Amino acid sequence: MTIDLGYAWDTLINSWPMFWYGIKLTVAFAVVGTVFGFLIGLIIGAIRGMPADPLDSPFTKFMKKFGKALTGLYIWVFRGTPMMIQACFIYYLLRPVINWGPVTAGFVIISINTGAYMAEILRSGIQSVDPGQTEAAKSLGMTNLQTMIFVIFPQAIKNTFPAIGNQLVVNLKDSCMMNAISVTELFFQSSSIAGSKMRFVEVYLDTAIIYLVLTTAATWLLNVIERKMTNKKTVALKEMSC
Amino acid sequence: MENPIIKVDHLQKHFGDLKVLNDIDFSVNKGEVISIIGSSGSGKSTLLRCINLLEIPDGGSISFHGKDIMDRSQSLTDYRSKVGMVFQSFNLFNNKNVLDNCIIGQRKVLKRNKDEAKAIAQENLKKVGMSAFEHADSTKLSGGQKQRVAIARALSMNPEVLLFDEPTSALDPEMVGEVLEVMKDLAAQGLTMVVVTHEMQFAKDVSDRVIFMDKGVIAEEGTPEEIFENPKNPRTQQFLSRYSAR
Repeated sequence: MTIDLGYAWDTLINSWPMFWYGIKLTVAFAVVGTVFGFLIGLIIGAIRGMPADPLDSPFTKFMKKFGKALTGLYIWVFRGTPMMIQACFIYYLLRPVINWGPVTAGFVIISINTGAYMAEILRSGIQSVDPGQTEAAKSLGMTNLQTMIFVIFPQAIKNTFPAIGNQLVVNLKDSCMMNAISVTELFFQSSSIAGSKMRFVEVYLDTAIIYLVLTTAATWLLNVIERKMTNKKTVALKEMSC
Repeated sequence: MENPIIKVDHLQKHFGDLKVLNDIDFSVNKGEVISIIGSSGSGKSTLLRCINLLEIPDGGSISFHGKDIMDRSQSLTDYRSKVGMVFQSFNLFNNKNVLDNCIIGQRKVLKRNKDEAKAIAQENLKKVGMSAFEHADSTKLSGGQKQRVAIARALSMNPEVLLFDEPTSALDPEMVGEVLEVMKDLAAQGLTMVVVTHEMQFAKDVSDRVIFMDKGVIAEEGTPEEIFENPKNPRTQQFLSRYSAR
C-alpha cells in the first residue's frame, strides 16, 4: 500500500478544471436540493403537523386525513429507499415522457428526496411549538394559514435549524449518488480522472479532501448563521434598561 | 334593558365522560365587568375558552349581538377579533418583539396600515406601562411584564369584550399587583370584561357581577356584595370561607 502524495498534488493541479467542474455541480446539487427540499418539507410538514380542529367541516377533516396518509406514503418511500435507486428509477421512468437531461432529473430527485427528510424535521419542529402560541393567534382572529406562516413556522424553523442545516452537509456528500444517472458531479469527474490515469488511490484522496473542505465550509457557514439567529435579539434588552 | 353583547344559552361541554359544563346560562352586557370564581376544575376556564371557541361546546348556543357564533356562515376570525383573550400563560409570540406582538393581529386580521397599527400598539403599550420595552424580545420579560404586553396586544384589536383566563395565576406574588392595576384601570375606563380569577379582592372591588361556578354549573350569581357578604348557596359559603381563612 503506497500513496504517492506528490502525484496526488500534481493531479489535483493538472486536473483542476475537471475537478472544478464537478465541484460546481456538487455544490449546486447540495444548495438546490436543500432549498427546494426545505420548501417541500415546509408544505408537507405543515400538512402533517396540522392539529385536527373540531370546527373543521367533514370535508376538511377528510382532506386532512387524506393529506396525512398521502404525505406519509411519500415520506415512507423516499426515506426507505436509496437515493441512487430513486434517481435511476425516476430518471429512466420519465425520460420517454418529458425527455429530461440527467442534471435536471438530478435536481428534481435530490429535492424530492431531501423534502422527505425535511418534512419530518419540520413536523417535529411545528409540533414542538407551544400550543398556546396557536391559541393566542386564533384569539386575535388569525386564520390557520396566517398562524402557520407568521407564528408557527418562524419558531419551528429556528428550533430545528441545526437539523435543517445538516441536510446541506448530507446533500454535499449524497449528491455523489447522481453519478448513477451520469451527472458529472465531483465523484463522476473523479472516477473519470482516476480511470484515465489508472491511479485510483491518489485521485480519490484528492476527492475525499475536496469533499472534506466543502463540508467543513458548509458547517462553518451554518454555525455562523445559527449564532446570528440566536444572538440578534439580546442586544435589544440592554438598550432599553433605562 | 339593552341587548347583551354575548349570550350563553344551555351550554354543554364534555371531555370524554366528564361533564365539564352543564347547562350554563349567562350573558355579558356592554360595559360590565364580570368575575367568574370557583375552585379548580369547576369549569370556569372551559367556559371562557368556549366563548372564544378555543373549545367547541357540545350543546347549547353562544350568540354575539344576537347571532349564533357556531353558525359557520358567520366569520369566525371576525368574531374572535372582537372578543379578545388574555391567557394564564401569556402566550406572547416568541418570535416577535413587544411592539410586533401588538401589531401582527391588527395588520393581518384588521388589515390596518403599518403606521396606524404601530400608533395603536404604542398607545396601548403606554396604557399598560410597557412603552419603554417596545423593542424588547418578548421572551426576555418578567411574567408581569409579559402579561401586561399580552393585555396591550388584545387591546390593540379594539375588542368589544376582553376575556381574562386566570391572568395572574402564573405570576410571582410580587407581580400580581401590577397586572391587577392595569385591569382595574381598564374596568374604570368602561371596557367590557369577563375575568376568571382566584383574586377575591379584585372580584370584590372591581366587578359589577360575580359568578360562582361549582362542578360545571353556575351555583350562584350576583353583585359582589351578595356573593361575598351574603352567599346563599352552602357551596359558595364553603368556598369563600377557605379564602377568608387565609
